[in-house]
Amino acid sequence: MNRDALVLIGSPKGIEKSASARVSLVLTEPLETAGWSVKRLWLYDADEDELLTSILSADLIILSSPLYFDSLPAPVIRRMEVVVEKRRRTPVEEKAPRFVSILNCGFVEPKHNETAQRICRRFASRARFEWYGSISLGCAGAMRRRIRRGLIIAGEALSKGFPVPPKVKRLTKKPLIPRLAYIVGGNVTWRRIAKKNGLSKGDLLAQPYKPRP
Amino acid sequence: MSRRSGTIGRVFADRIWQVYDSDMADHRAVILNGGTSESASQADSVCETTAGLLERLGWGSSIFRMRDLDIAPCKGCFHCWIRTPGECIVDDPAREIAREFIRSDLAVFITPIVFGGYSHELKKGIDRLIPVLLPYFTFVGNEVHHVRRYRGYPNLLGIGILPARDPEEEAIFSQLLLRNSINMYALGVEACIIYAGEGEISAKIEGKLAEVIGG
Ligand SMILES: Cc1cc2nc3c(=O)[nH]c(=O)nc-3n(C[C@H](O)[C@H](O)[C@H](O)COP(=O)(O)O)c2cc1C
Repeated sequence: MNRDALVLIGSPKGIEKSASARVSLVLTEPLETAGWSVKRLWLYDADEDELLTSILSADLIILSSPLYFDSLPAPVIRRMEVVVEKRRRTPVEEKAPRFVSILNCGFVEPKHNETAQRICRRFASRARFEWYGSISLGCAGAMRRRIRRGLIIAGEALSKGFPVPPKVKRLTKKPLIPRLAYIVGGNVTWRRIAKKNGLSKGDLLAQPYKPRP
Repeated sequence: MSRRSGTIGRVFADRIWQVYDSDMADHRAVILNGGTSESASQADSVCETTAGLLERLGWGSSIFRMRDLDIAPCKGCFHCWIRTPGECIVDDPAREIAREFIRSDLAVFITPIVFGGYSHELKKGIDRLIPVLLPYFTFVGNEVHHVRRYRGYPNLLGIGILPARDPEEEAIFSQLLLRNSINMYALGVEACIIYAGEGEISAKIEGKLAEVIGG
């Protein structure tokens, strides 16, 4: 069985500190345990040639990205455009690489990622990758038992050559915490951070741009 | 409606972006031309048509030709919320786009449709609009979103260019605009699809414009 996985990190925060990277590590653990080799590339600084050769030699491609305005961050879209353009000009291979997308968003409900997942799926088809499923996470990829379990189950399935099982969706689709609690907790946190930066509650509400009349 | 001597010619003679006769007009639009190098000529002609229609309506417009603008990608640092509230710490044309966005009654996103979504050229500007919102969370309808920073936000018109009919990508494009309109507090939103080689695009865009600005 083939055993080369390529993880593409789509966060500007990079290959270590981002939620996208953290989440992908949980997913790839079972792959590594099963003997897969896992290569990670940061889409923001990946050399184009290296990106393309890595894609061509991978059996499984995992895109892990944050959600930016209901879609993917601009640099991720640019890389997708490049990949598809390149794939259009390369001969069709016997076995297409498999493709999985994991998206995480800042709001509590994972379903905010749905539009972007459709974009990923479209990308996969344009790039002639075999769609192997998607995982959508809310709460900035916060890791709780149920989410960790979902990612591990997905990783195990992928390591055996299966797509992301439906069970993973069941484990991950519900908000991690009650929405009101997320709103209140989040707002307290923002205020605390601002205070640490020497900003008052009022400062945070600044309107530097002149609104329309 | 008042309007001075703005002409399309002047707008497009300028390489980068141009505001025309803005301050005198009652209504303003910000147009982001997200054409990539491959889709440049079509996006430019859509942009020119849209700007012309708006001018005829007496609107002032700011036009940003994204591919000519050196705009850094959003770093996701949230400094625009917690260090310099309301403004990105990176000083480049994206700040001007955010400023115009808030001044406008309508934002027009012009783009080749890329996997159902926006081109990277358009998206690099949109990603940098995050300072126009507040960090705080609230309910919008039945979902969690950010609290608005300003009282009013522009309506959205997305004009997507496709080589040919593609129901899936068209559906994604409409969904994306709808979702964006919720996050960006746009009261009106429309998606308009233009096909490559389509002859009469003016009437189509005019119809969508009328729907989204209620005119
Ligand atoms: C420019 C920008 C746009 C964003 N848009 C959304 C959005 O539309 N919906 C959402 O739920 N979160 C949104 N977020 C929040 C991020 O998706 C969230 O913080 C994510 O966990 C970041 O992941 P990372 O650490 O891998 O970069 C946005 C963040 C930024 C900086």
